[in-house]
Amino acid sequence: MQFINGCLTASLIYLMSSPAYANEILLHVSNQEGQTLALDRLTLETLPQKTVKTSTIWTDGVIEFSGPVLIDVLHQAGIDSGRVEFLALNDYRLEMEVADFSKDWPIIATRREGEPFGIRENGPLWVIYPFDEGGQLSDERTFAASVWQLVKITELP
Amino acid sequence: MPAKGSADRLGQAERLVLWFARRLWPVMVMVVLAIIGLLVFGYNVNSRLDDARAAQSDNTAWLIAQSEVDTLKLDLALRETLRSGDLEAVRTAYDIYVSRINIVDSYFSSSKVLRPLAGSPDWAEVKRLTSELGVLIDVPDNALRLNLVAAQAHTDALRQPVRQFAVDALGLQIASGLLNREALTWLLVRAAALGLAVILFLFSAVWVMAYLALSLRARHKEVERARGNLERTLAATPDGVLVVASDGRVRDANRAAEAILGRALGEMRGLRVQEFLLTQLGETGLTTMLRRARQGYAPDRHIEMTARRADGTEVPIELVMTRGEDADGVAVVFMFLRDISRRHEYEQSLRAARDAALQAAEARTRFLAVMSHEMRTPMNGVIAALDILMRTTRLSRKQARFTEIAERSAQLALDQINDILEMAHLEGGNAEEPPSVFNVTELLRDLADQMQPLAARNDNRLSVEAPPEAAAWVTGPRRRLLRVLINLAGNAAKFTQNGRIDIRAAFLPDMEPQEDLARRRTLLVEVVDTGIGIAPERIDAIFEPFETLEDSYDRRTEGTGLGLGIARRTLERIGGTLGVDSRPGEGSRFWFRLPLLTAAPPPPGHMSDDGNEADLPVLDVLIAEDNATNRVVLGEMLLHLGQRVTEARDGAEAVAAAQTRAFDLILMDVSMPLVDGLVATRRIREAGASKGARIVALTAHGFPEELARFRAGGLTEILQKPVTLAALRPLLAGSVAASGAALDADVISDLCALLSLDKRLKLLEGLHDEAQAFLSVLGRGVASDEVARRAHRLQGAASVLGARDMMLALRRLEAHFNGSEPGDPQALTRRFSVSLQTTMADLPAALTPEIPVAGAE
Repeated sequence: MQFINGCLTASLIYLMSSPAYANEILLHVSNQEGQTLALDRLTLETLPQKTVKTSTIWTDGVIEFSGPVLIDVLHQAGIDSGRVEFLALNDYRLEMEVADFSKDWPIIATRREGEPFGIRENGPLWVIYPFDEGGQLSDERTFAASVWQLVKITELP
Repeated sequence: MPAKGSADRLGQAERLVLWFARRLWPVMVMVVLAIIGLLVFGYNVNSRLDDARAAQSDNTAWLIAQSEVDTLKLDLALRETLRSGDLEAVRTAYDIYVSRINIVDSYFSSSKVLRPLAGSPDWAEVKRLTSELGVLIDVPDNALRLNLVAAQAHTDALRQPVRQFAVDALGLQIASGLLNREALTWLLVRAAALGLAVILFLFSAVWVMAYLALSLRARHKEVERARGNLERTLAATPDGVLVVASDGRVRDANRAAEAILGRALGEMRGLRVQEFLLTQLGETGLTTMLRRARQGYAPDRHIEMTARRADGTEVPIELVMTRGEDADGVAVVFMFLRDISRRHEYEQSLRAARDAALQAAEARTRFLAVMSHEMRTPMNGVIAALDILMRTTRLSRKQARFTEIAERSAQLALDQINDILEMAHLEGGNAEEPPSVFNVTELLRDLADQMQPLAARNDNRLSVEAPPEAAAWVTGPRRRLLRVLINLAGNAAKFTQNGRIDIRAAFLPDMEPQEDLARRRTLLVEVVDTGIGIAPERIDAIFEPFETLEDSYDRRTEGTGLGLGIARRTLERIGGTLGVDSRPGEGSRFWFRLPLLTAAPPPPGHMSDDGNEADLPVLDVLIAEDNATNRVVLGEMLLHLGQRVTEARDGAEAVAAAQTRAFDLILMDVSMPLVDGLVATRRIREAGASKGARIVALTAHGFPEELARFRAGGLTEILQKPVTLAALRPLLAGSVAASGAALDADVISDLCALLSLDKRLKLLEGLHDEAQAFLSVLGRGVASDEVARRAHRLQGAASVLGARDMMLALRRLEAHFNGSEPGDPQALTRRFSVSLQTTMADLPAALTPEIPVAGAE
């Protein structure tokens, strides 16, 4: 019911803003039962949004990223614990513990400086951590976990 | 020696403390600098680590490697599409490729290591080819389809520069990693060295502190112990200790002080010591003492004062003060008090005991003197009566023997009385004999004659060895010397049986010749016997008076046992020393040394005791004497000497007799009832026939102050009782019996005050020489007027020097020789000679009070 509601809302927003991209599926999230949640931009941007202003080691200057929090997206797919695998368009793969994600970060950035961004700019989805907060959030592991061109998340058994 | 060890440690610790104290700031600055250095190193290490992390990051390596992969993937997608025609795959692959290239390009800007590659030709080629690819691919599908081959050619061309870029980037990364590691190593080594240095420094500081703490604790303990000891000592000492502030206020006191002062510390604290310590100088005296003590001038002797106790009683105390400092460094005075009341009591009782003993001794001496004197007067009467009886009466043999026994017994009794009197005098300290001129050898011969009978009684042989008579003239206390000799010789004769008694006399070689007129000589006399001797342990006892009386040794023989004691005291009084060597059973040797003055020999024919009575002038003599015995004896003696004698029983009778008849000589007893000698003399001198007569005082005392009184009363000459024939002869011959009158004391004291010693001696020498010369002139029969002239001149010299008697004698000589007065020239000459002798015996000593005279202590 909630899922249908979300879909409906997303469709409405897509129709009003950017009909060309709104219904394009950007992310697939598969849980252990083999169910897959396909999320388009509208859906993703209907979820509670969070903005992260940070620099990255791959870009110049501080950039404002925004998008749903990763853990919220996982919850949408019924993934609460265990391990998940990220898959990027460029075939980058990464396994992580769900327990490692906080309720605030990372986010799945759908917009960069308020605008959707394409593959050439590491989009359209980029897992972003608030790197500038330092500490654990600016170490090698976090950099490695900052998956860009994200296309799929799979819960591992 | 633990104490010494800890003192050494303490010394080191103190030096360290000083070293640290003086360099505290430098040391702190050093430590702070080192810490700053460590922080800088730490920061450097951290940034280096950051660099290293960035450079070596897997991400970077992955990124670079992935750029080649994405290029190949694009190439692959193009080839695939040429076959299958799936244009979307090409577009996606290109997008991914471009995103990779963009990331790498922007990554250059943030990576120091890779920055050099940003401008490399390979990368420029990559970027050129990429943008050309974009032109070929970012077109509508129809155009893209046509561009596929060209695009594939481009990706082919891309493979080489991308490969080269990747290889270069990895190479740079490795080189930078190496550099970073080296730098890091250096940094770490330096930081470690600095850290180690700081640690070492702090460690040694800690060590020093620990050392200090230990030694300070040791010192503290030592100080504590010392203070504890001091406090215990002060608490236990019988001396009171007060700690007094500069103004005299009591700060502290020990228990002994509380006990002595009768005040608790609480009462005394804050009280000024001046309020309860009383000195003879009063409060200011103690204040002054305190001030001086504070200045370090504390007297090292004890000060006696009185302490007033709280209950008002006073105790004598003894006080010592010393300066000090209390714990706060404030100057204080420590007072050490001692209660001396018991010592005072002891001293007082000792003094009382001594005074009592002295009084007892004095009383004894006085009693002896009085008793002896009272006994001597009748004894003199006995002896004189016997003397006259034997000389003037023809006695039967039996009578003569008994008379002799009586005289000897009387003489013995008198001797003993004299001994006691002499001893009393010696102990009383008033027995001066004026020096006279005599011949030592003659004296010894007389002594031998006198002792011969005594010696013979015990079958002893007596011998005398003496210096030649001509060289034996001396000035000195003849009577005392004779007494000593009689005592010694008598002693020897008593204790020797069938033996020998040798008396030897000699003058010791001059020790230091003097410029004096009369030269000092030391006479050594030995009396050696072969008698019973004296045991060594008795040697000292034989000289003690009275105590030997009870001794059996002395009881065996006659006599008081005072002889040796008198001899020793007499000798000591006249400047001599007496000694004895003895061996029991073999004999004794008594010896003495006596300093004397040499004298000129008197003219021949004079001073012989057995003087010829015929030589004496026959005079009218009046005897004024209340004691019948004395008067009769004296009268008989004068009659024996061929004089015309008139007797008066008291002063009044004498005055009456002198009024009517011109006597040549009046012998006046001084102490007579009613009209005494002095009053009688004054009356006789006032008027009457005997106005100009010689008046001679008769006295038993002869104390100097009495003599002065007599002289003031006109009694210029004095005859000491008991009167003997030997004493009467020179009196009748015209000489003066008593000394003192011969010299004018006033003139002499003036001379002493006016002239130097040298001048006086020169004058004396002149008088002596001139008088001797005059004497020789008299004997040679020079013309009368010449003699008178010389006599007159000598008178002047004599009067200048106060030789009054000599002047009088000379005046009479002058008067005779210039014919103005008749007289016997021989008698006048003798008179002058005697006067010269007396004068020369007394005048040198009187004129030279600076020089101590031998025999006078």
